[in-house]
Amino acid sequence: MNNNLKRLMIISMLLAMAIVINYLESFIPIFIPGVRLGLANAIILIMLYEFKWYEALAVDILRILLVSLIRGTFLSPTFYMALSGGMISFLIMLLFSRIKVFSKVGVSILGSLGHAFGQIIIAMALLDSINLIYYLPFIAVLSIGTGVLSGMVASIYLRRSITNIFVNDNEEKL
Amino acid sequence: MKRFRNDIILVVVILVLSLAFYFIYRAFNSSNELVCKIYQDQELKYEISLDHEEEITLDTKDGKMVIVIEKDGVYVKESDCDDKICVNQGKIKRGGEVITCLPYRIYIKLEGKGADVYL
Repeated sequence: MNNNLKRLMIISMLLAMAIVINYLESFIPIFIPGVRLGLANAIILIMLYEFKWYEALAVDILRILLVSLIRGTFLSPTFYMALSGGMISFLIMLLFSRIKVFSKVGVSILGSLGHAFGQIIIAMALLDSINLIYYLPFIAVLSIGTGVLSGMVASIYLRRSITNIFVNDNEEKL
Repeated sequence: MKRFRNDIILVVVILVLSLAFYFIYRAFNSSNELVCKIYQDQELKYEISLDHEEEITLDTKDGKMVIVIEKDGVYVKESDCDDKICVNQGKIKRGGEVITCLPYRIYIKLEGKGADVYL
């Protein structure tokens, strides 16, 4: 098998994992209907460190699209909240994974925070109520927890360099 | 090790900001006592805070209107007017909400300081 194919396979597997995590967490209610924990951030974080940024972005968008199709929330408020949260957390994690100020856990915490912010902003716009901001501190503290969790998962994956077990070439930098 | 230290600082900053936000929000809300203002012919007739229950009867030249003030809101119980829009509107609960009765030129407004929790 050539390496491009293997690479595509790994990305597909990561996407599948992200979808499963995202699907399962969509049953966990958090304060506001439609707000998610964002545990699939772990997968995106792994991709940001081991793959190209546009591959990570593709997985992120596909994850949101496919989960919304599975859950039947496509183009509903939940979908827009997930999209906004996903994109903001992606941009923040992309930025901080390049600026090496924080460890992977720190980047993950920031990503979780961005995810929460993105969702709340859309929820506030949709409900036309600034008062949802009341939930912000609770969700921020909660996202420290999810950030640490998904950051640790990503760190363990990256330390064992699981991707390299399958795709072992040194010329092409993953 | 340096990045680990930065992570800890990040977590502490988020926790402190969250706590500060929470307490500032609560401080704003506790002073948020709603006041019901009732205007008749563009004149302020009553100003009642919503800490007790009260029933007010307003007399106009065409008939009377009964306004009930409760701890969680204000509503018009009875009105002799024709359209009964004010009665049908039900209870207003949050600051900024109004009940208007055009035939009697009565205007009921809830006012409060700070933000209200949307639930």
